[in-house]
Amino acid sequence: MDTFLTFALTGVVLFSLGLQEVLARPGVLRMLIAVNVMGSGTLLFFVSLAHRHADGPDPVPHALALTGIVVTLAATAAGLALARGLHRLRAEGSGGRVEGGRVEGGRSQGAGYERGRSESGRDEQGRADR
Amino acid sequence: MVLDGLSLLAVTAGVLFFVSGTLGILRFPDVFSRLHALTKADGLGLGLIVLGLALQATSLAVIGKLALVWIVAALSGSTACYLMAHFELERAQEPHDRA
Amino acid sequence: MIGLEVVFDVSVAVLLVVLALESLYTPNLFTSIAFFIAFGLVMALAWVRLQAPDLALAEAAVGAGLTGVLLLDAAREIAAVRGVERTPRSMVRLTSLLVAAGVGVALVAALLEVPPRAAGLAEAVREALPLTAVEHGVTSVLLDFRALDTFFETAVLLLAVITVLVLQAHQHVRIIPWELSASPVLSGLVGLLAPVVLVFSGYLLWAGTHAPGGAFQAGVLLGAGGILLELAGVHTVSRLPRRALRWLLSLGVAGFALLSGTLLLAGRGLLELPGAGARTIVIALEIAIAVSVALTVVSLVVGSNLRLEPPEQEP
Repeated sequence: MDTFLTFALTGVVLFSLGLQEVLARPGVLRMLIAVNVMGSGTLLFFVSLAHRHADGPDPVPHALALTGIVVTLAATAAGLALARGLHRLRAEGSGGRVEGGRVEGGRSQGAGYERGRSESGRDEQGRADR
Repeated sequence: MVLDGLSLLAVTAGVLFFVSGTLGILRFPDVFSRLHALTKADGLGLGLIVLGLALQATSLAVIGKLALVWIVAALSGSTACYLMAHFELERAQEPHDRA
Repeated sequence: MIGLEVVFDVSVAVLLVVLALESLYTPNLFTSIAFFIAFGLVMALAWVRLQAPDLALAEAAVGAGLTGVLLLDAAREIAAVRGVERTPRSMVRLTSLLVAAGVGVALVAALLEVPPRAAGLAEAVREALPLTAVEHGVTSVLLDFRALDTFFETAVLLLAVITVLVLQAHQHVRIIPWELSASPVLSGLVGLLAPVVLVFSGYLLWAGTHAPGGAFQAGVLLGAGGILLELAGVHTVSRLPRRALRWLLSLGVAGFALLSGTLLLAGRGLLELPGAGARTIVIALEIAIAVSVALTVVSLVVGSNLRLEPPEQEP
């Protein structure tokens, strides 16, 4: 097991895990996390191929992966902005009130940050189908 | 040789502190005691590891970089700890509107 | 006898898989994002093991920091009102498992066919390196051999930031609570760190010509510093005039477009750098790319009209 094989296999595993989650159609945010995991797997596979050279790695995959990391960030940000826009449209459609960009739903608003954190998974799933 | 021994001692002690800090996160009951365990133990652990590595350094520039790593990590770690504790305090004082 | 390096590699690999599993399958979204941030940090470690310090630098800022901030912020808005979880039907889950397992097996089979030792393009790059304007392999690929790729990558970044700015045009983004943004501890830290970040990103930009570093790493680091400033209530990017922000965001693309246009008019190839002055051109391009990457990163996270001071009607 040299470094190349270890990380190439890890890349394959990460790609498959992410792919499974994307195909299972989770919520938008989870899908973006899964796509990021897939992307990390791809880059890991690619850069581990560059590591097969005996004296010093091949710089071409490094350069491509470098821009890949930055482009993944940009794509994630664009995806999240789209998800937020969609979310606001849905909230408007279902009678929620949009105020200064923050959506007021049926529930009272406390500190939103803390709410997102402390919500249990069961709670999230229970309200999913409305 | 003496230097190697000192390095080994410092790094081992540092790792032990890291482990105890992690144990604190896993075992302590509330946010404040967990934060306490984590930041205190990890701060010391990182300091010891930096010390152990600095003893092995070949040039002054490397020691400077290690010191910079330690300073920045210590500053940002304690600030993050303060922010989390502050936030937790706000949350604890807020009336609970949910079951 | 198993070497220590193998033990370390395998631990990093196992840690990556475990963190990915936790991040993907834990029911609580906040926990999932926290695991994803840890995953990014360990990825940086994996890049170091693969002798890719350029990638480790970028990943530490992007994967561990910026993506986490973006996800947390979006999760707070989206998950606050409606749960984002959807329990998939068992048929969907089974199909996805089968497809993913099939793809995984096929990839492993392909991997076993790959020769364990190959030079790739390493030799070609090393031989041609004296012909380029820089001494670092990765930078020479980015700004000389494959400059066309980098041109279009900066264009992709510009498109993404335009998307985000258009969609968030009327949005009021708030990443951390008011009372924290005014905290003396946070602004004290930011006051200490901001000059360090500025100097270090300048160093990375300069180092890129002959050592790991360069425009993209310097840009994301500078952008992360800009976000830290915004969070502490020091408005830099969000107070820029809109026209200036637009110009600076497109500086990278504009630089490439100007260069290739000039070279074409001079009767050379599209991005065929002239022998004399090539180094100056490459460094100027790097500065342009770093500036627009930094501003792109800040804009992606804080949106177009971030206001961290409390609105008047806030109770």
